[in-house]
Amino acid sequence: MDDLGDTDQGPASRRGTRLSAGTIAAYAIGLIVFLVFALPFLWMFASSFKSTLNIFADMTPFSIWTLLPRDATLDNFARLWTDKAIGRYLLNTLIIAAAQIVVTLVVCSLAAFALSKFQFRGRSVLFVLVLVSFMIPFQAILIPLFDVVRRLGMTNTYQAVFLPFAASAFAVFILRQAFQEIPVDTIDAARIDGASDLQLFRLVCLPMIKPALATVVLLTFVDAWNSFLWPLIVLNDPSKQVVQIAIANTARPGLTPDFGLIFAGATIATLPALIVFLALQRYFVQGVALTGLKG
Amino acid sequence: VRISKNVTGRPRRGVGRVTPWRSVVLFLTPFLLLFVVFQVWPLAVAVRNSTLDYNLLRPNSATDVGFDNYIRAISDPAFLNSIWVTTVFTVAQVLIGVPAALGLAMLVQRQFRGRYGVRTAAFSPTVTSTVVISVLWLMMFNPTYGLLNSILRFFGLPGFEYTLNESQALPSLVIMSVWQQVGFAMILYLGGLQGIPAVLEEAAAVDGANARQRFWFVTRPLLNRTTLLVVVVMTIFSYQTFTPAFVMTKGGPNGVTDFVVYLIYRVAIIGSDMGYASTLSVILVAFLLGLSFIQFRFLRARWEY
Repeated sequence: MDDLGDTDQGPASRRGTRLSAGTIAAYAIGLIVFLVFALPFLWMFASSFKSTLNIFADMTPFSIWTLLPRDATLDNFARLWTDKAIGRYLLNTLIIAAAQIVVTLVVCSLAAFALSKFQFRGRSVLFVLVLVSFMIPFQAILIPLFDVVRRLGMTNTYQAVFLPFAASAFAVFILRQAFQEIPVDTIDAARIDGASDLQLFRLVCLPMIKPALATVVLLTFVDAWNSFLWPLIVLNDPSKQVVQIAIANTARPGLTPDFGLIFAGATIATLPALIVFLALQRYFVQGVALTGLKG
Repeated sequence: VRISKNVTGRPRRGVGRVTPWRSVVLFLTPFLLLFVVFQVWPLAVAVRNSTLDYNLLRPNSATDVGFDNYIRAISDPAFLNSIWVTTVFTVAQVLIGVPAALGLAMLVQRQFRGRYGVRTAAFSPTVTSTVVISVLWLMMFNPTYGLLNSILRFFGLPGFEYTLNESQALPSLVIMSVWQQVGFAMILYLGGLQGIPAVLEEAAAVDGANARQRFWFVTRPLLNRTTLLVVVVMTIFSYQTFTPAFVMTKGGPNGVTDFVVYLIYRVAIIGSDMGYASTLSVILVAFLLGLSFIQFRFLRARWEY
């Protein structure tokens, strides 16, 4: 990682496209950085198609076959499917992710619209309150949250996994930002045509903020797909378990690691979010850049 | 109920009319309900439970013990160790991660073919679950069959024991964590860099500043706000680290990777001690809120002159 420290040649040179020493250095450093981030993933994907014996054999000496599948087999995936019932966990995770997306979208877009386009006493106080909740470290309050969920009699339910995250300050922030950009004249025109607040929201404004909605959908999906600690606490019925917990269970320390199986599980747990990200990268970058705005 | 005054006192076009309460309630109730039940209430419960002797194995016999749990916390070697471990982990991660993220952002800002590939690769760990990253790096760290030692052997270098070694375990997790989070920070820095007008650097270049000087005296100070944000976000993230300890080390060897949240998890879920776990949660929340407040004050003082 130390290689990254040498890249501060100054932003002014970014406009030069001639093949200067700086550009050559950028290529070299760029290649190293790319490998630092790509190699672990390549190794994981390739190894998921190998038997554990072949994985071990290909590690010494390090060669191109360490990172490429050889004698490819789907055996690891088959074992995940039959022995580890990964299909059940994938389905559970998809159900939870879909529910979380729907509830988050409805609840947060309504709130964001009110915080952006309504005039009422306490509006700015409320928005500041929502922003402050950004600062509450979520992992740190999981245990009291568990106590709340337990008292509500919701442990071991799907809704216990996603409802606590549905009132997302981050989603409200992104959506409010988008509503703010809708011109006042558009709102006026709709009002003059007799639109009610709900019609104004649903028929006029929501269609205008589709990119922001897409950003929220994607970030929520990745969040839900990757969530681990909270489901670990709130679900102990094995048939309701989510995919990340199943993956963590394949790699219990102390046991002799079954490399092939572990890599196949990690691959399955990674690909959906990674593919969504690679296909729709723009929205992610927008979402993260927006976090920067609040700072 | 009729509200006739514009609350902000400022005349506004279009939306200037005060919205009827019926609409406000309709739009805000679902959010507020979830917000109060799942975010405000747990905070209150945490504070309440923190003064209780409250064990899930006998939930009906909770008794108020005042500040006993807090006194127990500040003299609990396990808790003090976990604070120390988590702090070292966080400081190391910020010290390495922040310059690395800035370097990455400046690299992918340059015009060269493949910079989008580099950006995408660096950001990929951010959309990968911490579980997968922990599992993957556990395999990478395997002394015999792991990728890291395999590459080191290829270059004729001696390998390491990584997570199995008492003095290498925490540094290993720092490296993994920087690898995971640096892409997110890079995107924040890219946003910051785009906000800097090119004329400033050009003016400095005309005045004879070299690339290093332009970076240090023009670009870097203008990025202070972004750096503040990156430091705060990284600090808060890394104090909440749980998964690497759970998946890779179980807090070991000998407690050197026993992060605070992993300790809280054990106290609550394995020990069923909800009272004491809540006390530790309250301390952690107060500590993090205080820390981000201080970081904001301290770092802000350096750019407001």
